[in-house]
Amino acid sequence: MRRHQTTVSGTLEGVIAAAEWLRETALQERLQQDLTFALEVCLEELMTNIARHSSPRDDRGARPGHERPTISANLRLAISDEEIELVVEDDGKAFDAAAAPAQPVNRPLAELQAGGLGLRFVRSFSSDLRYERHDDKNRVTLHFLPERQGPTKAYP
Amino acid sequence: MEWNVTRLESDASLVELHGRMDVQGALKADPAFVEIAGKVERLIVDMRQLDFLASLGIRTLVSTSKTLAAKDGRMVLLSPQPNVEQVLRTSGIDTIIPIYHDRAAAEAAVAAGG
Repeated sequence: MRRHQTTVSGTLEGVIAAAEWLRETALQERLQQDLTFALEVCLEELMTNIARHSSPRDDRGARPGHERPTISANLRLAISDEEIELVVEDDGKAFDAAAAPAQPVNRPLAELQAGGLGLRFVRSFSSDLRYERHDDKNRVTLHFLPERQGPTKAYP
Repeated sequence: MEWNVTRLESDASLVELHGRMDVQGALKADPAFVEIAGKVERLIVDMRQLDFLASLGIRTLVSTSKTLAAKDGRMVLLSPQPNVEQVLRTSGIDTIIPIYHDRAAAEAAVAAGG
């Protein structure tokens, strides 16, 4: 089992840093292209959700002259011959990514909110998604098969 | 992330995407798409050279499509790569922004009144 981890902020800059970390790690580990794509799609969605929707547990810091506490996200990647595990753990307010409904898209375009569609990706591109609240942190654990097959369906 | 914009004989516009529409790519492209959406009514987004698409990129496409729809315009996606197409279909975006793998069919789809 080979392990990699990093900590980024729960901000847009953190989303970018997380993506860069994952790409470098995937290159280092020589992960299969389709697997890397799946990891990147899932990580971008989870990190984007943290940056867009999460808020610090302690709101009392939001006073004039005082900076609001920044959310922190710890990312862990464990790689073995049997599976790949990606853990995203943030210290924001409780948010169950696994329970959040994917926004339906089969409704009139005018009603559709841009964004918030990505959990479909996560469920589709990973083999397993789990959420737990642990030590006042949101922890999302994803599993991937090491030899992920790319799309085999030939769309018309 | 790079792109080219071409005006077609049919008067539709073709945006060819090159590279990755990841976080940085989407942030870079979004202002351009806003500008394009303000100027055109029929748009084909050529995704043959687009290697990656995720949440933020989807957001840009949806916003563009909504802008065009608000003025009775049309937008379609052309020839996404397999992984990108899986992203599009998994998100259900293909139900509101049609996908074509044939240039002529894409042009016909965005033609006036189509």
